[in-house]
Amino acid sequence: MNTALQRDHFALFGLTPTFEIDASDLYRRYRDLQRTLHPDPFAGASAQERRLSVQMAAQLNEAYSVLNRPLARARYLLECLGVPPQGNPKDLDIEFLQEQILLREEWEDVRRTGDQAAIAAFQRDIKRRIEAEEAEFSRLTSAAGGSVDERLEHALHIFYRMQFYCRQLEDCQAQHPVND
Amino acid sequence: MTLLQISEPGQSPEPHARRRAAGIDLGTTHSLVATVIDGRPETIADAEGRILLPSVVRYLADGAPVVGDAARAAQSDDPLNTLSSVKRLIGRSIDELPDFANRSHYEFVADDSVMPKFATVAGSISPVQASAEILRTLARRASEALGGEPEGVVITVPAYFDDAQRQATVDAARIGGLHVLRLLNEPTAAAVAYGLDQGSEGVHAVYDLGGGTFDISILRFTKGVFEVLATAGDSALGGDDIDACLAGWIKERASLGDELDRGMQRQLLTLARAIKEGLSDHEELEVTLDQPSGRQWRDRITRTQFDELIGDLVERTLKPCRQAVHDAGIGVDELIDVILVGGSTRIPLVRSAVEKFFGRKPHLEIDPDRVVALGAAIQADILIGNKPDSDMLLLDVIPLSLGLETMGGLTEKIIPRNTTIPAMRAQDFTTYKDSQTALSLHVVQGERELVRDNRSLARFELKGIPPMVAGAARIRVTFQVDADGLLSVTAREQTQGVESRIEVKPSYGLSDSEIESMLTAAMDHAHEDMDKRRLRELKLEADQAMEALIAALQKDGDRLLNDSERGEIDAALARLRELNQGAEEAAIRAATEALDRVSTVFAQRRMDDAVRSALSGHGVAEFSGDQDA
Repeated sequence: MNTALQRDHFALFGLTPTFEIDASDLYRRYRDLQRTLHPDPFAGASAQERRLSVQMAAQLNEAYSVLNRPLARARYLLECLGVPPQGNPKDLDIEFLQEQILLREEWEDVRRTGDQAAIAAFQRDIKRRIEAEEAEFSRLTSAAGGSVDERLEHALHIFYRMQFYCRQLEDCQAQHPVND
Repeated sequence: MTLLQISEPGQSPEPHARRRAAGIDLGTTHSLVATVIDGRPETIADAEGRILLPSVVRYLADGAPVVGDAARAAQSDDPLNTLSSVKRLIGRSIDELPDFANRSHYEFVADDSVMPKFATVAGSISPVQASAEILRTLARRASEALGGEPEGVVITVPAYFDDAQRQATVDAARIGGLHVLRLLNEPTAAAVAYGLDQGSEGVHAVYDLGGGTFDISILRFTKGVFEVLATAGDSALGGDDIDACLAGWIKERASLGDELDRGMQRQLLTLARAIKEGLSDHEELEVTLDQPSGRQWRDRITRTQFDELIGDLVERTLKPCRQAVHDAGIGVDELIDVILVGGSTRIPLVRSAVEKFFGRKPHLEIDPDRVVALGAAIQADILIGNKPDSDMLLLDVIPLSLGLETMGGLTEKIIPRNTTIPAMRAQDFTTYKDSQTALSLHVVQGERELVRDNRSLARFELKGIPPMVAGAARIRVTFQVDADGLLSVTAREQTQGVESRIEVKPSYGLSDSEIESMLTAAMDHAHEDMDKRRLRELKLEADQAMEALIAALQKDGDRLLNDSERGEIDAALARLRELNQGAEEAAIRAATEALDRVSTVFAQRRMDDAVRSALSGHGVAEFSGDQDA
């Protein structure tokens, strides 16, 4: 028997492992599950049930924080599919790395001008790139047919690209928060 | 007794029996207690009609300590034995005394304990004990209003309190003889009082500037769920610092010199507070002070002068505000309102700074001194089981990252700040020497890279690791933070199963035996001794466990257990029931543990069942093949 404590993050939410997730549906599931598992309703219960509820509510929070963030979700999905991302990606193509360096330089230039509109436009551009990679990642991890190994290998590659862009965006936002 | 409510929403086990619960705001300057009466939270006044209890405790050579207004009145005359603002010291070590604005007003005991202790006529007193006296006084007040001792209380703490400060607050409650249902963050409590009162859904900011602490929390409120997105603050910044700043001004203007006796220092602070309060309603005030020389000093102070004096202090609150808004991942314009909490938000400069920063007029419909206690009362009423069909859910976060010391004195974060609680994270470590049989762990809290810049919470050691080559052992360290924000840490060697577990007790906190002896001392005049008390609590706990289990068995036993599982549980139940008639502590404890063991699978299945039904309303309720659970 698989108890809820042993379930993977997707199964805990009653979902099949997939990258495509509707954020508001995920939140509603999270909320209803948390109403069930949270220690508050167990405040008067036995020590055993209180303990269990803390553990399960903690697991639910962890699962939600992973599934709710696209990059963390992608990483987790790859782990579930047996191709865990490594700390240091080795075979990213030179072109992509060069593009990253250029992007960093471009950001430094934009940042120095202090032009709010240009800063916002730059960040929007990165977001668009992330979305494009996400779409490709989703296609690769859900498509049928072809060589599975090849597809996952490719998905892993896309994941590293997503990771680069996300870091770039985080750095930009830390230096110049833009609300849109 | 409360039954498991997951299974029977909308049905109270005993509809007519309301249980006695209270919410306590244990503040730096004053404390108060509230309870829910006829569905509404109300603050409870004392016999003289006073709601705010000054958080001041005066120790006497003989007899019980005096708490509240009478103690505060004696402050200038008896400064050494009259303790105030102890909240600023709770859970802190002697090294942190410089943070304490009033440190020069007291004498501290120099012993080998790292916890600061005041030297008083009644002996050495820790901030935890003084807090316990305040809690006890409020509990008595609640007992009179409720017609009996509260069965459980919710105590509020600053959101920015670290693990040591939270643990010390729980210790104070234990010494005060209170059953703590939950520690609740002050801004969250305020949001509960506002949210339920006004029902406005959206993202709120709560700006809480109290007597000694500052918190800013960003929360989202939707459909009964209060979700803290981020919190930040300063646990040593508040009205006390404003008073100290004004006292400095008086000292300078009146040319009082630096050598003031403690009574005079006290008098200055009292005058400073009066000026601060006066300038909230007036543009200018006349100030007079009787000097030690017998002469009277006279001067005027305008609000503009006052604003200049405290400008930096108010500015200091804005940095955490920026931080919290950033961490919440929202823009200031997405906030639907800003709620002011804490007496110090009465200061006009504070209000205008908040208004300017958030770009909107802050809310203050509910008295900023009472709003926290009211929110705590609402939560206490729910937790004690009086509102089984409430759909309120509070999802709070930890304010500061929790981590471990690694090589080179660096901090490795295990649970980052603003993680929703309860939280659990594990990390694997290994041995770095051949045949290493022990691993020391140093648990720290804070955002800084170097361990020495963070808060040291505890050190412990996993012993008995089987000898292996360096790097072969796999030691999983698990951090678990419960709904009170309290941390426990487990270390387990994976290949051989050696385990070590600690509730994180700050290195300078109180041990269980210290708490017990303080409890005994506090109950000197009381009627039962420690052993009896312990036995009573144990029996009560056993009763609770049995009642909860029986109710669960009636509901789900036939469905979720087979005959032999059921037989085992019934046997353990019968044994505990029999032993619980007697007075053998060890036997009752063992039988309670045995019952716990044999019924774990049942509890687990019930949880799974609840998970399934929580998901049943959501389209794809598939359980990847293990529906036979």
